[in-house]
Amino acid sequence: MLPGSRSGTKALIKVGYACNEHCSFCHTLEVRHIQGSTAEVDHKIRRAAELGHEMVVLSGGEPTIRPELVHWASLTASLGLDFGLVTNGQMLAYPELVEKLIARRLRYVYLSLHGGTRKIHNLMVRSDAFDSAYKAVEQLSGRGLDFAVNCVVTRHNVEHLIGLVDALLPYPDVGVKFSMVEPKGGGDKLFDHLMPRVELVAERVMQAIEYGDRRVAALGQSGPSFSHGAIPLCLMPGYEDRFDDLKTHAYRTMIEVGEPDFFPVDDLNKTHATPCHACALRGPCPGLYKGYHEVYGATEVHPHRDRPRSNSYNYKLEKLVSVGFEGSTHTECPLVNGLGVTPWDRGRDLFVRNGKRVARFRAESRDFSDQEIIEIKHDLGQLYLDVSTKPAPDDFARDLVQLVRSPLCDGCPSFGACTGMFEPLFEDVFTRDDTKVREVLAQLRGEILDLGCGEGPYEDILAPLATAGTINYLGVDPHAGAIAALRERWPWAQLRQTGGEELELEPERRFDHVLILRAWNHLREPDKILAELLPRIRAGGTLTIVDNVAFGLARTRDQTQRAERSRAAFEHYRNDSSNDAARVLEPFMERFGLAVIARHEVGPHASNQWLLRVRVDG
Amino acid sequence: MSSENQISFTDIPDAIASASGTDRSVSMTVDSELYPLQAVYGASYIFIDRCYVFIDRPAPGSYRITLSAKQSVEEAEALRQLVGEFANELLSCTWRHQVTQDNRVAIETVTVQAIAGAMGEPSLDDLADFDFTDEALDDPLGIAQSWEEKHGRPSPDAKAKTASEPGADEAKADAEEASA
Repeated sequence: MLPGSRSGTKALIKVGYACNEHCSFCHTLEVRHIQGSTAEVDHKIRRAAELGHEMVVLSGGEPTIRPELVHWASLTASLGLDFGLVTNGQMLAYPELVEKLIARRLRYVYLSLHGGTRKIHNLMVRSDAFDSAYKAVEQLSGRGLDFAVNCVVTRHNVEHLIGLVDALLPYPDVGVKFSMVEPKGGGDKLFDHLMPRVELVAERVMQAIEYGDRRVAALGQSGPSFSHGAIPLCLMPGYEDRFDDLKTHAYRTMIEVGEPDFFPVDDLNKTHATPCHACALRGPCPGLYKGYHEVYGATEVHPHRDRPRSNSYNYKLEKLVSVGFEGSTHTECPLVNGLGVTPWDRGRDLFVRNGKRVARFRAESRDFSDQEIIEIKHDLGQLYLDVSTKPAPDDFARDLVQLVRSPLCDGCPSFGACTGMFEPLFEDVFTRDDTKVREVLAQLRGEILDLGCGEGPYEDILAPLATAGTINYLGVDPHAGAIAALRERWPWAQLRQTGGEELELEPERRFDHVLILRAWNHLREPDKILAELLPRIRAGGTLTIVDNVAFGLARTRDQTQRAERSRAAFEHYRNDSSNDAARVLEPFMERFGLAVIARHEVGPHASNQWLLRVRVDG
Repeated sequence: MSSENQISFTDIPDAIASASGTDRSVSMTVDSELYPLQAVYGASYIFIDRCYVFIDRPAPGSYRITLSAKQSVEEAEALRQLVGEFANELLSCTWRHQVTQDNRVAIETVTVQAIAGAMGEPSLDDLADFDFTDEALDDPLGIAQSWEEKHGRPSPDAKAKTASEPGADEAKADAEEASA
């Protein structure tokens, strides 16, 4: 790994929980007497190398107070890995120790400093620690390290963040991070005393970042840089891209004292409240700490529904795990034998078997949250192998091959906890599932509104019906090119170039059937559009909504690079499922006498297209 | 030390101990084959609250320990008592050193087995790769000790046995001060 870069994948090892400080918000308040043995940590460092990590980061408690520190750095370096520390930094005030560690491939330091003065920092950590920690900053800066200083924000230092910015201005290679205090350990025990409202934290952190950026520019320096953690992104307007967490630091796995193997880093201590589910920022957003949400609820967050978001993400090929695998039962699975079940992220890691070959892919996308990716992969089963050469597949039936859980997983006791083994399903699920839409269209009679008609993919069905006078068709789409092309091809159709929200219909205009085919997720405010259209559907008429859920694409490195270079703009405001659409319809059901007459769900062994059809009884 | 102020002890050979009335000090010379240096250090340490202690090596094969009383010592008997107490402490430290040496293998074996037992058996590769060359950390400022050790506080498991949690109140008070 290059000095200062952040691409090397990290394994975080907790060596024990003893510490030479006693922060009021200490996560491990109740277990400070537990220390991992030398042999245990040695074993874990070797395991991290075996799992293919590029850096071992030691944390605690405080890892630098362990006399084995230099030995662990030596062992890590001897295995060809870089070394990192999550530390309060006091021991790194010793120049000799810093030199020894740098000689043993110390490349990353994440140091805690909670105030820019002795008074604030020392009282936050309940120790006379500021001078040593600040000296450590001086020792470490300018050494080519990936160097972050973390400031935990509580009620007690929330008004003093600018002081920390001033203290760190002399060190341009430092990344300063402001983190919302977590209600865990001391943060939970002293919740009322420590926990600031997240809205206040966001405001003060934005002020500190804005001040820091301004001072850095005035001084003509390249840094420090400033970021934030565990604050909902909707509260950080203009600073959304400054979010910082374990994943942005390239942590893949972690292990606590006494645990038998590594586990993926996750965000399961945080939650996205119900209002956040349709938010365009949900992917990278940390949401709220669960403990905070339980006490204060989600009154401070305000989801962004007016920004488009992605509807797919990439799994990039990382490694060919095996070229001669011949197992047929779960007892022979490489995940059970050697690779391990727990170290792999259930959503973001993907193992694909094709014959004797087993390959590992990885999704680093922050367009989707961990929870969303798990749902897409396991609950909805929407994983595809990209077999095209296009930046983005546009003919799913030809470009994509679905991946489904391998028969190897059948009967495996770890089935639910494991990231799973997947295999290609050589069946055209897209054409098969679209048949249901075609059947609906073939039965249409009377006045038709097609909201989001696009390039007219169902011409072979609609054209004969229209020319025979069976239907009277109005097509609406915001794309000028699509409408212009249809005007050439569809002389039988009325066509309007406008968005769904902007559509203005004559007061007396009524329809027998309204179609929203793969356009639902392009609508910013579908509830308002339903309120406008439902009164216009005649009794006995129907509303048919069809759309796609998001999906993951397993791609080679070249395909991934090509896709990431593409400048295709996001067009979806949500990735609603039929359940989400049903929830939007719910308030209208009784008022318009709506009855569900057809519903096709997405799931494993099915395409990502769902269908929801309701009859309007008036 | 002037010869006219030299004091002799009737029951201690002159070659071993002599005292100076002017300096209120007593010097002892001991055979380094009989008394190891670690034992001399151990015995000297016991006296540092009462005396200034000087150790030197006047000739190969012997150590000289000089005890200079911090408080006024007027009587020869008091100096004789210091010599006697030091001799006994030196013998005690020498014996304990010998016992530790004799049992070192047993102590280390039990400790290593306890650590290894908690982890399962290390592989031969683990043992072959183990690096014994890394020296311990230098920590002249005493940073590398836990907060509980430094402040003489009980560890969390001991605290858990008591009903109250004074640490939380202290943290609360400290943090209040921080925000003031």
